[in-house]
Amino acid sequence: MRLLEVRDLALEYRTKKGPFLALEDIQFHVEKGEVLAFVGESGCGKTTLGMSILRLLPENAHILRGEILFEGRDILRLSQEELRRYRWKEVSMIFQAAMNSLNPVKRVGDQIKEAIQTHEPDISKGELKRRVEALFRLVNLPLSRIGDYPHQYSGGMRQRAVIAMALALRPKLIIADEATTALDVIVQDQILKETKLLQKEFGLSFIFISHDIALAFEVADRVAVMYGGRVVEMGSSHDLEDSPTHPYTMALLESYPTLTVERRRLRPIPGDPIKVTGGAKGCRFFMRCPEAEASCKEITPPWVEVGKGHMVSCLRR
Amino acid sequence: MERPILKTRALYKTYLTKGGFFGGGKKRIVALHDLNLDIFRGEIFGLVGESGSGKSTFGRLIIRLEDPDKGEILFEDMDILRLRGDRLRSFRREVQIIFQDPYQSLNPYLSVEDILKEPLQIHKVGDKKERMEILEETMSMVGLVPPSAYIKAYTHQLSGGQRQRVAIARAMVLRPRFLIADEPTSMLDASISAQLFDIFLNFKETYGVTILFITHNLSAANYLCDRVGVLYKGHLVELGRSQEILTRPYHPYTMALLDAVPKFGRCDIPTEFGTLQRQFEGGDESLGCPFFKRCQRAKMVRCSNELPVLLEVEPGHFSSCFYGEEIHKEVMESAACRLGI
Amino acid sequence: MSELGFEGKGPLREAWELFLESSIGKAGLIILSIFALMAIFSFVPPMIDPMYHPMKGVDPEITTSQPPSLRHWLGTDFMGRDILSQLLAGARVAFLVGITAALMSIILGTFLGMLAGYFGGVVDTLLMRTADVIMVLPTLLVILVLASLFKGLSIWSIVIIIALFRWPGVSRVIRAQTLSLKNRPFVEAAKALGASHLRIMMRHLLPNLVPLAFLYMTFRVTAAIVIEAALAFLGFGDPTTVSWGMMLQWVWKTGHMFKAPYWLLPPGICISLITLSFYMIGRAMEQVLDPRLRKDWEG
Ligand SMILES: Nc1ncnc2c1ncn2[C@@H]1O[C@H](COP(=O)(O)OP(=O)(O)OP(=O)(O)O)[C@@H](O)[C@H]1O
Ligand SMILES: Nc1ncnc2c1ncn2[C@@H]1O[C@H](COP(=O)(O)OP(=O)(O)OP(=O)(O)O)[C@@H](O)[C@H]1O
Ligand SMILES: [Mg+2]
Ligand SMILES: [Mg+2]
Repeated sequence: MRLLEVRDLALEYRTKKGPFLALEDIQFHVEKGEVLAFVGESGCGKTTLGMSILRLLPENAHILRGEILFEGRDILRLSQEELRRYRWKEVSMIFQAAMNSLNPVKRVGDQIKEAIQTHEPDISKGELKRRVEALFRLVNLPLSRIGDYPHQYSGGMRQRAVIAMALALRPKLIIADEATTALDVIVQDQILKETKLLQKEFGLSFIFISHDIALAFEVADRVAVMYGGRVVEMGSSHDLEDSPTHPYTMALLESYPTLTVERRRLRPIPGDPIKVTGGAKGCRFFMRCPEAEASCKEITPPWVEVGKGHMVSCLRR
Repeated sequence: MERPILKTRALYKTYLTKGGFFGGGKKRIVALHDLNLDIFRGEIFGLVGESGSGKSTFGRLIIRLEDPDKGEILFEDMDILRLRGDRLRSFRREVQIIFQDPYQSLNPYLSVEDILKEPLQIHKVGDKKERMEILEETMSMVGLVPPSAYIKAYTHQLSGGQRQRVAIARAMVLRPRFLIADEPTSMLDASISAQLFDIFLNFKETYGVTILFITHNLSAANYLCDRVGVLYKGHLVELGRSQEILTRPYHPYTMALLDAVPKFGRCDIPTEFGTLQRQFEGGDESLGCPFFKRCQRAKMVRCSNELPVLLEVEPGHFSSCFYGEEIHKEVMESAACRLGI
Repeated sequence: MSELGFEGKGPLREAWELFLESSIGKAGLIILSIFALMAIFSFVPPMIDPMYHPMKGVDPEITTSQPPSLRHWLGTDFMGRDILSQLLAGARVAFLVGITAALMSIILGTFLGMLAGYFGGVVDTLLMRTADVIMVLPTLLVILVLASLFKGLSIWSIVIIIALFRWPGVSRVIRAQTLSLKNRPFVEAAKALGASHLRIMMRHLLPNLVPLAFLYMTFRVTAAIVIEAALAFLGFGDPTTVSWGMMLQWVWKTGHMFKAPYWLLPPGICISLITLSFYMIGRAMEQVLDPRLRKDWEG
């Protein structure tokens, strides 16, 4: 059985200016022990997707259709009580800019303890202490800093503490929303390495959300590229890196500087990200696509399999 | 290009950190340690280093937002730390800065027009009509086209990328000769960043602006910069042409930085320099090399007791590691592939 | 969006639109406009008949306090003066006192707080120590002492004293806000452009402080109205004006407190309602200003 399977998910935000279709036709699955990355520019719906898997959406968000199956159970049908257990224990999320979300007046160690205690009230003192220390070791935080307050940590350390918190209840799936974006390269690299270890050692699965496509290739087994609330291409990171197929993926790769010797001129994607209102037909990338033709505006592109497990949604392929 | 437009001599800056609740535990942090750096006319100079290494401090000192404890800053051979009054004001026309956070660097109560006109008002440039022309030209330079569509906007109506364009335009309306860009794209998407990079390249090529580009993204530095300086804990540890620094590094810290960059444009045998010690407890500063505690290659006694100085290892390429050439040789053999050579 | 261009809709206008969405803000505004109408209509009764003059007009046929009648909709006081026209005149005074006193104290507090926060150092220490000293003095008591010294105060002296005694609280808040603003990149960018201190304060700091100052103003108006009413009730009011506090004092002094509810209740209710309306407006503004409550994505 697949750990997580999402089928035909569509979601809209209802705002004063009318409905706004933030997710449409989202279809994917996550296996046990797998890292799936979602990449795409700001506003394409990555956070919204993460939040809907946890059912932590704002009030004005409405899921129009679709199923989210976690170990076969449709979480859109869970009761409040079941939901509470599902969050944190089964799936936990590292929120965007979470490093600032620690409670400033509580010691970091105590915050993690509380998180465990609320979900496992019967846990003994000694066991609790052991668990917290193990978590600190896991994310490479010195044990001597367990009693510190968040402001005494550097940004990187705070981010690790947040990761420790997400791991506290030993969930099966972690959704990391731009978990390392605010950090500098060295810290980011260290955290990613730790993440990989966790994945290997405990068979943890990750949904890794980022706008940094290079980073996604580095950590993920599979990558899904999103544009304007839709997934436009999905496949193993090797396939996507070696043979990107959707014009948007190709453009994304070409707009990204690398360390290679010969300096190729970057090709920024022209124009601004779109904001779709209502259920627009046609391809969402139409306006900015170098290869677009008239039919792209009319027909919503179907999924085409261009390689094993490598799917793309473009009329021109 | 070889004539420096900006020189710093033994620039030294410390900060006093706020102590604990009872005022105890105040510590003096050395943000910049005797920095000597020349930036050449018309180049894009990249200053890289991890968070807290002193990159922003350097920029803030140059633009006189703060004063150093010791040292000299010479702009066109003029000691800018002595400038007062009108001389300082005319210096401010020459050097401008762009900050990291586009959401904080524009006054929310001003329209784009107000924001861009302010520099002209302060320096009494042009009449009403000329100002409007300068404005429109600058806005086109940064890709806010057509200008008339954006000029009445308030910042909260703009996206992050558009805001950063406004901030760049504000820095450019006075046509400065020197531009400091402090991580101008680190909060923006890659595709937006690429658009902004091209704007900077255009400034350099068309207007001959010298740019100090502060970043922790080595790939961006590689793309944009002619020369790169690597800063670690306020020390300049390596300096040279960007291609050289990124492909043939001498300092173990530079190597650690390169290791940390997500590999992309893969090569068959991804090797690592492996110069960073993963497990380490931060501690007090020692007399020796600032990187000593985290360096996998550090050798006892010398590295921990003697402060290395920046030496020329190849023409125009400087590094401050006692064992730099040794490590360089050893590492270059194994890393040839990953650099695509 | 960019094809059409942006309409110039400043953040203040957006805030106003958000404000109008809040029901308590709207309710507050409605109550307040009723009082504003009352203040405007206060000129009407004396024009109809001099006997309706709130202070000097006496109904020649009446010598004691009378309950409501067709001739006097809310009744009369002990001298036969019309209570309704007094109530209307009281609204005018409440506005004058409340708004001018609050405005003066807010302007003073905002500028002093901004100076202290922006320049820091000696300026800061000096201003804030002064603020501390004034803050610990009980306003009402000081005014009472002054009033008994000078044998009564005119309404304008009361306004000025309230303003002078009520700036420190505001200035503390404004100073704190200034401290957080002055290191924002947009202020630093202005410095790097060579902007003068005056320019930075007036153009970059002040607009960002105005909403907060405005919020405090709504609370200060309430305070000023209550102080004036209390002074009047205690007998230290301006004897030449008719304010709600004055009316209450007359009820009390002439021993009608428990005999003439038609006389006691209207000024009492008006004081409570006008206070409530400003409080409601303040609360709504707080919501607009608080970024956590603000629904940015709907913009
Ligand atoms: N509560 C909301 N009501 C209305 N629209 C919303 C709401 N939350 C998000 N949106 C809109 O939905 C779209 C997707 O938002 P989301 O936060 O999922 O994007 P994202 O891909 O995570 O972007 P980023 O990289 O900037 O975090 C955006 O256009 C956003 O403006
Ligand atoms: N106003 C200040 N007060 C105290 N310490 C400061 C202050 N500004 C900077 N520092 C310290 O000086 C050092 C250098 O800071 P700086 O901001 O220059 O680093 P940076 O290289 O720009 O880092 P980042 O990549 O995070 O922006 C850091 O240790 C920082 O904590
Ligand atoms: Mg997001
Ligand atoms: Mg910085």
